[in-house]
Amino acid sequence: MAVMTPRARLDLEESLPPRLDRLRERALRMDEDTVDPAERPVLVTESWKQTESDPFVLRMAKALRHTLANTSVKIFADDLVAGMPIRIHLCHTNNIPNEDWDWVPAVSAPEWNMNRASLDDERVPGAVKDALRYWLDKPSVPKSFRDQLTGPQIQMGRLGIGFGHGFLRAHTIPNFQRVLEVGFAGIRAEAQGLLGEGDAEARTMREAVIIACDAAIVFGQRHAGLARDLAAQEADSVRRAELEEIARVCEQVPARPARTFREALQAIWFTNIIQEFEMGGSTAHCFGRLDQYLAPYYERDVADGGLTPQQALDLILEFFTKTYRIYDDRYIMVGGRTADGSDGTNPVTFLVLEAMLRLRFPTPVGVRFHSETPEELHLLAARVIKLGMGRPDVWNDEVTIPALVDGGIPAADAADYSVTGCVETCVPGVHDARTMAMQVNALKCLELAIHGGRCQISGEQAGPITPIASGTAREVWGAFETQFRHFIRASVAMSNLGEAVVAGGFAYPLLSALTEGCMESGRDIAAGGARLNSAGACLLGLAETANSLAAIETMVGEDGSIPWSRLHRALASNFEDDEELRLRLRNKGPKYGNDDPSADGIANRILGLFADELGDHRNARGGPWHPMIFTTTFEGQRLGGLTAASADGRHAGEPVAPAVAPTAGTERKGATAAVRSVCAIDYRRTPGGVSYIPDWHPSLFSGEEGTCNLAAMLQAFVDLGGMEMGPNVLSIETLREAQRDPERFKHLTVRVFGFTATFVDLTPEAQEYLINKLEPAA
Amino acid sequence: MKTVGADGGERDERWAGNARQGRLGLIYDIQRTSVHDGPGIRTTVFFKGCPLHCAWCHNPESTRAGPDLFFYEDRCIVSGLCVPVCPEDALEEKGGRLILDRGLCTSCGLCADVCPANALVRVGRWVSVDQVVEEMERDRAFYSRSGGGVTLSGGEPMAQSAFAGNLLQRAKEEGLDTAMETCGAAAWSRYEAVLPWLDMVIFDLKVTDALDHRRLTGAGNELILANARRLAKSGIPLRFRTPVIPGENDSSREWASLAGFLKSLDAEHQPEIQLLPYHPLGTAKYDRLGRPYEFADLKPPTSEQMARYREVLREAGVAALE
Repeated sequence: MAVMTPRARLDLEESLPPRLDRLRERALRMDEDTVDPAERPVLVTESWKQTESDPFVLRMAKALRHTLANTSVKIFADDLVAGMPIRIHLCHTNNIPNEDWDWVPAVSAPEWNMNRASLDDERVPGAVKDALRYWLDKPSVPKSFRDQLTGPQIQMGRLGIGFGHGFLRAHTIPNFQRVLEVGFAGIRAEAQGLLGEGDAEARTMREAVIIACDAAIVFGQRHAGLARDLAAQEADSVRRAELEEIARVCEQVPARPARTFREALQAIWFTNIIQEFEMGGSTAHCFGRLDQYLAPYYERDVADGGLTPQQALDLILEFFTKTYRIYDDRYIMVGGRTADGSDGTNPVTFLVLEAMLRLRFPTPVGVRFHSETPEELHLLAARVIKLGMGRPDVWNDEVTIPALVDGGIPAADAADYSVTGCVETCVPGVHDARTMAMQVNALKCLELAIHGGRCQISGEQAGPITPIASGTAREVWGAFETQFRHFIRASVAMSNLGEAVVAGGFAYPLLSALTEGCMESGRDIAAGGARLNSAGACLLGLAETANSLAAIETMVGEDGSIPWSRLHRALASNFEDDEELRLRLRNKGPKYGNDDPSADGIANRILGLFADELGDHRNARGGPWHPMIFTTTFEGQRLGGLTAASADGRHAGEPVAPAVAPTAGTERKGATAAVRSVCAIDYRRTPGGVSYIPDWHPSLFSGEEGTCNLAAMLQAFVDLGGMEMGPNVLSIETLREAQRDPERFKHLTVRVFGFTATFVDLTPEAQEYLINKLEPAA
Repeated sequence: MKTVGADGGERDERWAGNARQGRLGLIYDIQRTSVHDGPGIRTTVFFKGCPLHCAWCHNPESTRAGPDLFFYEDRCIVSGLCVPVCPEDALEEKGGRLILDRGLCTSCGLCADVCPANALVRVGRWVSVDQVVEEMERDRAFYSRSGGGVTLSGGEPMAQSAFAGNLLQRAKEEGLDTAMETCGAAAWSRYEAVLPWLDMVIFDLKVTDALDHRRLTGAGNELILANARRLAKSGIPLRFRTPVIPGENDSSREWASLAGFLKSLDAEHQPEIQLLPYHPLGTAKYDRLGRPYEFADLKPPTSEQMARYREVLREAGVAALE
């Protein structure tokens, strides 16, 4: 293991060329070049009214074709890559035709995310209101799912114990390589060839694919035509040549195979836009392993003399100005091993990170590391992380690939893993990972175990009756196991119910065309057509549950000095009359996050129980359950709010730590000890993905030497068997300053959970939470 | 069997014997993820006990060669649990507050063990070489990737030189990079004994003027300067550190004298020096120890001052680090 020395300073921090600087400013203005969010609801509704006698999957395909044939197409000054970005969402998951649509976005960006407008909001244009009225009495998938839920399922969700929905809501990665290799015309031809085969459902599915491919082809052609028209009117000869080149590129892609780096990037960008139009307002239509897709084109073009590294960097920079929006989780993965096990790091890997350094947008980029990753990549990643955007996050191939193989993913596919959304693993182009299909709050299960199955917040009997006599560690663990297994099973059943609803109620012909297995089987991805079908199950409250069980093991009942009756009473009363006991539980005894094998070992026992139980079940598409440890910060706050006092000295209602992070304020031995605890978790059991967001003070990593130390932290994380880490290198001072002067810090981005957010746009509570996390522990 | 140590504190005789042989040492902290005590990411072991008593010391809990007790009054919930366990009757509840009589307290720490709020905290614990090495080993992955290792600091490691030597030897045998931060006030034979196990020495040089040194630290600096010369000559990589105490050791005469001393060293490579600005973060610790702090009103030097002092040294031909 070599020691790193600072390299000669790369010429990376120079300012952007004027054209890219203008594109950057335009992106930050948000509303200048965006697709009008009012267009899709109107166009989809128009189409829907005309297709009432068609099968659902055909209606989806026709709605896409109608939308792409009629949505506004514009090419702006300075554009070399065509295709208007969708900067303002059409809502996160609530959209026609198959989701709840009773909220549509506020049209006035950028507050869209915080203030979704309703049908009677005056800011919603009349045409959108007219369109939405059509849907008032139409069924929706969420509605029919809710109608089928049982009393105990509703109670389990309401009390914050467990939940399952099984929905396919974006969080996929299409097969970009097929678009690049054969184009939509090629995919269309394949569907044509299979058209007569299989049952009626299969034939309809392939018919829908053909229509969806036509939609994509038309979309490209419309841009080509527009570029040609603009060129004809263009007086400036340089710009005219650029527009003519745009026209040539859009004639080729996405209909036909990409021949150059630029065509490949254009095809990938078009595919993403088209996918967002297909699925409606949603996020997490991810880009997969961008550097792997682009590298062959880059290398050939550079060798031919048709492309310089600078031109390639400029195209990636322009691409990142296109993808920018306030909340973005269209994950881009770079680096990592290839299917044959060799190192896939290539020049495009570096260009992507260098583009981040120049542009300083929090583009959701992740880097895959493994034992043979070149040191330069660690250093470059460290440089970008030091910008304080919480990006890129790092993944460890040495752990993630075997975990996926253990999770039933074939080795060659596992080696090609990427991430969708925040931190959810997914194999591009072949995999319906159905991430976060269910979740179970382990801390709530421990609460129920301690109190005989009774929720201490609502007073309701929610779980099995589990009496505890003397409070030995064995007895408490037994009661916890009973509750935990009960709610894992209940959440699995709830998720599988949701999957059944989704199978008949959602259809995505274009995504299915780009997901291996669907076309062959003639089944839509929503109906289980993908070659690989897993479902993600989230374990929540890991740190607090481990700390509570550790406290009971070392301090309570027959094993310790605190009588069980006293603990029981204190927990039931939220420590009202026993602050002394609360502080003892909080301050004494082992805590996860301090490199203490006893607490870390309990965390692993909890995970082992979760994974063992899930191993006995299949999802409704017949695939395995993939355990994951992922809680967003806000979900941690919500679930903590629903969970009573716990034996780690936590008051009722206090948040639980996000994902695999230690509880805030309990890390007492520094960053390396916390990292070692986090790395002690057995990630072979979490193929679905995990999240670790340490908050590190920038003084740890100042200067060139600090960059090397940060790179070393990333390498050590891989050496120690961690899975995922997205460090936040921020200072309290900067955040306070941003609170005082939001205007000046408009672009300060922080990693909130899976995605990065603009700090000043967060609620005051969320801002405080982030700042508190940085305060040194008492 | 108890015995009274040189510091006035009681000790178990067996421990005292072990300590003399360097099997046990008194430390007050092991700080992981240290990035300012030598190259890379390091683990720093803070020894308890120091021959100097610098008036500005930011680690006042480090100076006494025996255990201390921190009392964080703001954390105290007056649980009353500590009062009966105190063998010296140094604790009592009065008017809703806990009163600690420092005159009676021997810092035995029994109260800290029962304090639920961590309001009473032991400072200083006897540890074995194995215990410390085990803790050092834990961050090996970070050392090897960053070029880091372990640093002995304090307090003064050379005040427990047998223990320090055993630790350093074991660390070296385990393949760890080693550094030691020292104030220089110990017999040269002690340095000689540990040099084979050291990769670097960080040498704190407070002030070159002998009278000022005695006034500010309670001891002369003749031995310190002599040790600095010998260490420079020994060829070990050496980095000097000087705390900048406004009004005390930052006169132009002092900088000239410091530069002259550094340039007079008989070293293969001219040693570097790092100027550390005085900071008031240690002030609260004096309260927690129940000790007065005479520099409570002292303001840290400005960054302009610091830049100027570095420049003065550089102009005099000394390698002053940022």
